[in-house]
Amino acid sequence: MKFVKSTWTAVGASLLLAACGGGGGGNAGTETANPARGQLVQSPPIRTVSLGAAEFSGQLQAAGASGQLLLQLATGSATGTLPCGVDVQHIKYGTVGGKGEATQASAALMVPTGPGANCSGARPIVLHAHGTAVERRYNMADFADTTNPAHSEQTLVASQLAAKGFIVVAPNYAGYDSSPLPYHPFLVADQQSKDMIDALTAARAALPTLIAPVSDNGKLFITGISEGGFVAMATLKAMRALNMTVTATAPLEPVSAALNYGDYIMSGHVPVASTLLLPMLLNGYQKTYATLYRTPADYYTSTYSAGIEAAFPGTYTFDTLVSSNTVPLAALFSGGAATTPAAFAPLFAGGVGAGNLITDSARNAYLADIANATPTHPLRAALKANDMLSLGVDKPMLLCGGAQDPTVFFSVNAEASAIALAGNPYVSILDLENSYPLTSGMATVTKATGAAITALQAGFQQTKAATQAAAPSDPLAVVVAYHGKLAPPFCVAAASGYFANF
Amino acid sequence: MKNNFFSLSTIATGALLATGAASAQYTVQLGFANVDLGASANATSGPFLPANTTSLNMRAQQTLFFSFAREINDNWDVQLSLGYPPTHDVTLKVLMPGNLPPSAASKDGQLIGTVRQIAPTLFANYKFGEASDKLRPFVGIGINYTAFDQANSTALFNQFSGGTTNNKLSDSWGLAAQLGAVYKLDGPWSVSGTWSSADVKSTLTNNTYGVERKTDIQFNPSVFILAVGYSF
Repeated sequence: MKFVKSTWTAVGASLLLAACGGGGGGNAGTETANPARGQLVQSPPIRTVSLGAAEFSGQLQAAGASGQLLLQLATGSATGTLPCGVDVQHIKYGTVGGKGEATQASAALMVPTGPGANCSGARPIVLHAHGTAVERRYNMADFADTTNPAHSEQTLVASQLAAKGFIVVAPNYAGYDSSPLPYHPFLVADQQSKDMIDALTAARAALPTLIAPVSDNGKLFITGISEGGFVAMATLKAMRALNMTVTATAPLEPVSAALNYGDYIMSGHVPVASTLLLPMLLNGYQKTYATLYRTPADYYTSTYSAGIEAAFPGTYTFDTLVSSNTVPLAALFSGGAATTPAAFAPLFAGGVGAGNLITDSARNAYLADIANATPTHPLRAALKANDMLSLGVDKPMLLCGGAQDPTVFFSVNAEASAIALAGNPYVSILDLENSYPLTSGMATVTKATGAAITALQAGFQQTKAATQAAAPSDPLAVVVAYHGKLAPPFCVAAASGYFANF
Repeated sequence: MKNNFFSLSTIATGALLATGAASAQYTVQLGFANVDLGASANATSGPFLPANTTSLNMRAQQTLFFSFAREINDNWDVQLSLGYPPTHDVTLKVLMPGNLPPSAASKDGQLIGTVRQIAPTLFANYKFGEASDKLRPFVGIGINYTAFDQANSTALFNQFSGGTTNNKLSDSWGLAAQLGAVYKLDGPWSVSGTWSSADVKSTLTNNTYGVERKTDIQFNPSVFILAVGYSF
C-alpha cells in the first residue's frame, strides 16, 4: 500500500502542477484603454517588419520598374543598395476627432537600422502625412499585406526617408486602420495637426522601447503628399503656435490653398478623382462642423445620396464604389465645364455630364458666394477656415509638385502658395515639369535648383514617357497616374535630399 | 482550465472507485512513454504576417508514465492513464519563403518555443484471453483531455514576431484509443507494452504586445509506452 500511496502522491502532484501551470497568452507590454492625447495605447509597440538594407534593396529590385525607380532615386542606381535597413513599428495613440472628441489613431514608426554611419544613434525625425485614401484599412505600418492600400506610399517613404537615416512617423489618420473614429476629418487643419502632433509625441515615447532603439536628435521635418501636403502645412502652423521646434518642411503636391481649390473646382475645373475628393471633403466637414447639410441629398443627386456617407472612407476601393454605382467615375456636375487652360479642357469636359454626383442647386449656391471675400456659404466658410494660403513660414520650406497635375492643380495650390510667399527667404518651389514661371507672380519665387533637382525633373519626364509608352492607346495613361503614382516618388526624393541639408 | 483538471481527476477517481467490490483488483503501472504529438498545424494567421507563410512543428518527447487501473471483471478494467507532463520543442515552419524577407525565411526549422502538455486519459480496456493467461492482449477506448501550459517563446521567436510574445493553447477533449499486451511476471508484477492515440485539437494564440496571431493545430499523437505493473 505504501507504493500505491506514493504513486497517487505523484499523480496528485502532476495534476496540481498542471492546475497551477501558467497558461500565459497575455500581453507582455502595457495597454492603456483610454489614452490621453499623445499617449501610447500599447507600449512597447509591435515591430511589424524588419528589413536589412540588402534585403530591402533586393525587394525593390525584384519589384520591377517601380521598385527600381525607388532605388535609383535613393541610391543613384537601379541596382544600388540602400544605406540603412528599416524596422517598422505599428503605434497606436490617443488623439481627438474633428469635434474634439477623444479617440485613437495609429501610425507607422519607421527607424533606420544597420551599421551605416547615419543608421543608428541619434537621428532626425520626419513626420509624414499620407495622401487621400478611400479605404479605412489603410495602414502605413503593414508591409505584410501587399493589397494594403498604403503599400505604394509606405514603400516610397521607407526607401526614400527611413532607409536614408530618418526616423519616420507616418500617421494613418483618425478614421483609418484601428482608429475607432467613424469618419475622417478630411482637410480639417485643427484635427489633423493634432493627430500629427499626437503621433509624434507617442513615437518619441516609443523610441527607447524598440527592439532596435534609436534616439531623436532634435531635428524635426514635416512632409506629406496631397492631402498630406495640406496636413504638413497645418501641422507647421499648429506647431508654431505651440512654440515647437520645426527644422524644415516639404509639402508635396499639397492642397495648400483649399478655398482657391474649392472655388476652382466648383467653377467647372473638374479634376481627376473629383468624385472621390468631394465626398471625402463633404463627409469630413459635415461630421466635423455639422453645418453643410441637413441630409446628403442637399448636395448629392438622388442616385448617389443614400450610401455615400459610409463609403468615404469605407470598406471598398474607389473602383468598386464606381462599379457598384455608389459614385460616378467622373461626372461631378451636370454641365458647365471650364474651357481654360486649354490643355485641361478635355479633362474638365469629362467631369460633367449625365449621371452627375453634385446637384445643380448645391453647386449654384456655392458659386453665388464666390464673390464674397468673407464666405457665407458653409462649405466655402469651412474651406476658408482650413486654407493654408496665408500660412506664415519662418523655417525652410520646399513646395513640390508638377505643373500638369490634373488632380490637385498646381496653379491654384503650390504655385498660389509660392506666390503668396514670394520674397520669403525660407520658401522655394520645385516644379517637376520645370515649366515655371507659369504666371507673372512666379518671377519672384525662389525655385529649387541644382544638379539633383535637374536629375529629378529629367527622371520625371522619363517616367511619364515610359508610362505613356506602356499604354500607347490610352490617352489618359499619364493623366490618371500623374498625381498618385508618377509625381510622388520624385517629390519625396526631393524632400529627402532637401532635409539632408539641415 | 483549473476547474477542468480537478473535474477530470474527480470523475476519474470516482469511476475507478465506484466499482469497489471487495474482490476487485487494482493495478498501478510505472514506465516510460515516447510522446509524438503528430502535430499538423495550419498556416499562422494574424496582423502583419504575410498570409500562408508560416506554421510550426512540434517535436516528440519522452516522459515518465504512470497509470492506475481497477479491474471490473476478468476481461474489463478501467484505467486512468497519466504521465509526467512532457515539454515539447516547437519549431518554425516556413511555408512560402519567397513571401517573407530572407532574414525571416532563414529561420525555418529553428526553435521558437516550448510547451508543456498535460493529457490525462480515462480508458475502458478489454483484455483478451483468460485471467490465468500469461500474455493478454488488450484494446481500450476512452476520453482524453489535453491541456497545454508553460508555452514559452525563444528570443528568436520574439525577434521574429516583433516583440516579446506570450502564447496560449486552447484545451481539448476527444476520444482516445489504445492497444497493447500485458505479460504477467511472478507474483503481483507484470510488464506491458502499449500504443495509444487520441483526437486532439487546439488553437495556438501568439500575443505580441497585444497583437494576436492564431494557428489551428490538429494532433494525431502516437504514444508508445513500456511499463511495469503491480497488482494488489
